[in-house]
Order: sequence, then structure tokens, then C-alpha cells
Amino acid sequence: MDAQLKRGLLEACVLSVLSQSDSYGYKIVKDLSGLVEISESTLYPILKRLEVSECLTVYAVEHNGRLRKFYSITEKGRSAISDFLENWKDVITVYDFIREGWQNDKM
Amino acid sequence: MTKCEFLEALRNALSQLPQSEIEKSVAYYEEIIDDRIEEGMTEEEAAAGFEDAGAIAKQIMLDLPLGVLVKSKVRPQKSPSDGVKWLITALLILGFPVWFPIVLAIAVVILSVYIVIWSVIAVLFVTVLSIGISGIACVIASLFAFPLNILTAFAAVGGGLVLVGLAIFAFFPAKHAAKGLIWLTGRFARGIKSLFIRRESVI
Repeated sequence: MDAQLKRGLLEACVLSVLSQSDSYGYKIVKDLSGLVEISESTLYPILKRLEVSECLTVYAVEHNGRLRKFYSITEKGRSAISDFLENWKDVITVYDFIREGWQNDKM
Repeated sequence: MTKCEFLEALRNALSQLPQSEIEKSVAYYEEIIDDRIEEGMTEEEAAAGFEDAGAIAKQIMLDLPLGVLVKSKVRPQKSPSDGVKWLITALLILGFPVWFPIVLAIAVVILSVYIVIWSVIAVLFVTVLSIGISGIACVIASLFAFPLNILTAFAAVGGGLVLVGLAIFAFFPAKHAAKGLIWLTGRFARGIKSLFIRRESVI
């Protein structure tokens, strides 16, 4: 998949996961790995970017004697999700159009 | 590779970055490794399941805003102590009569290169324009000549049209040449910038 496209999708995926509940890096990767190809190294810059754009906040929780960073979605993050859904309505319309044309072409 | 070895390697690969960025990145990967170990992996497996530290560091640096990156490359991370800062400021002030004329001269030279290039472009277009205008003038003059001497008038019209045609014909090579010269100024500017930014294999 195109790198730029994938990045946008992954950001929306991460926000979606966080909108269900706060989570931490390792768990986010696990939750998403069934859906998309994502590694911890891919996730890190995404989390950083989302933090910079104020779509999430970070806090630390003690776990087994170490500090675990939890990410929490913000209002801005929620509206980013809704923007994503709005934008992709058009993509889906185009996709359906092309697929229909493709099937008719096969005939 | 143990967890410590991996984190050390990562820290080294990131060494040019500000301390806060290094700590954040290292803390992230340490947490991942610890989580993996908690899930049952051995330390070896947990520290191994990444691309190598160099590649990770490169990705982190690529993702940083360009400003942070250029600053970290151009200025050494160890911020100079106050004493050194004062010394440098004093030297700059004392040395003003020395470095300022030099910087000014260099700036003037750069400016004159630009002026020369743009003047050539201007000359090209002015030439084409004047050929065109003289052609039109000829045709207009011929209108006055008609009542006086028909032959002269026709010669003037013909000559005028030739000149206008020449101008139109010459316009396109002039535009091409102008574009080439503008590209030249672009190369020149980039060459000067590259003197300041020591770009290495970050890309």
C-alpha cells in the first residue's frame, strides 16, 4: 500500500483504538496487527505525530515496578476520526463506481 | 543481543538529537521490550524482533521536523557554557570591522551575479520588444506615406510586417533562454545554501 496513504489510515486506526479505551504501545500494536501490517517501529512515529497534533495525551502508570506510558484520545482526536470518516465516504463512492465499471468491463 | 545492548545501540545512533528526544525514544522501546518479555519472550527474542537500531534511529530522525534536524546537525548538542557564550559575543563585537566588510562584499558579489543574470534576461526581451515596436511603427508610418508615395508606403508596410514577424519569431527562443537563465539562478542559490547545511546520508 502507498506509504503516505498507509500512514493516514494507521493514524485513524490508532485513534479509533484509543477511542474505545486508553491503551499503551505494545497493546495497540497487538490490537491492530490483525487488521493492518503494523510494527512497534511504525507505531512510534504515529503516536508522536498524534501527540504533536494534540489528538492524544500521554500519562504514565506504574506497572510491575516500571512506568508504562498510556495514550488517551482527546476531543481533537475524536473529531479527526469523524473527519476521516467524512473524507472516506467519497473514496468509497469512487471505489464502488470503479468496481462497477470493472465488473461491466469483464462482461 | 541483550535489552541493554539494543538500547545502547539505539542511544548511540540517536546521539545527535536533543537529550529529551533520545530519552523518549529509548523509553518507548524499553517499554516494548519489557512488555514482550512479560508476554513470555526471552530477552534475546524481545530485543531482536526489530530492525537494527541504526535503521530505527534513521526513521525517528527522518520523522522529526527539518528545523530540529538542521539545528542538531549544525550546532553541537552540548550547549556552550555561559562563559563561552560571552567570549563568542565579545569576539563577534570586537571582530566586527574585520568580518563585516567581508560578509558585505560576499553579499554584494552574490547580488551582482543575480543582477547580471536578470539583466541579460531583460536585454533579451527588450530587444525582441523593440524589433516588434519598430515593425509596428513602420506599418503606422506607411499609413502616412500612402497619400504621398504609394511605393514607399508599400515598402514600409512590408518592412514593418517583416520586423513584427521577426519579433514574434525571436520571442520563443528568448523565452527559452530566459527560462534557462532563471534555472541557473536557482542552481546558484542552492549551491550557496549547501555550503551551510552539511547534509549527510539522512535521506
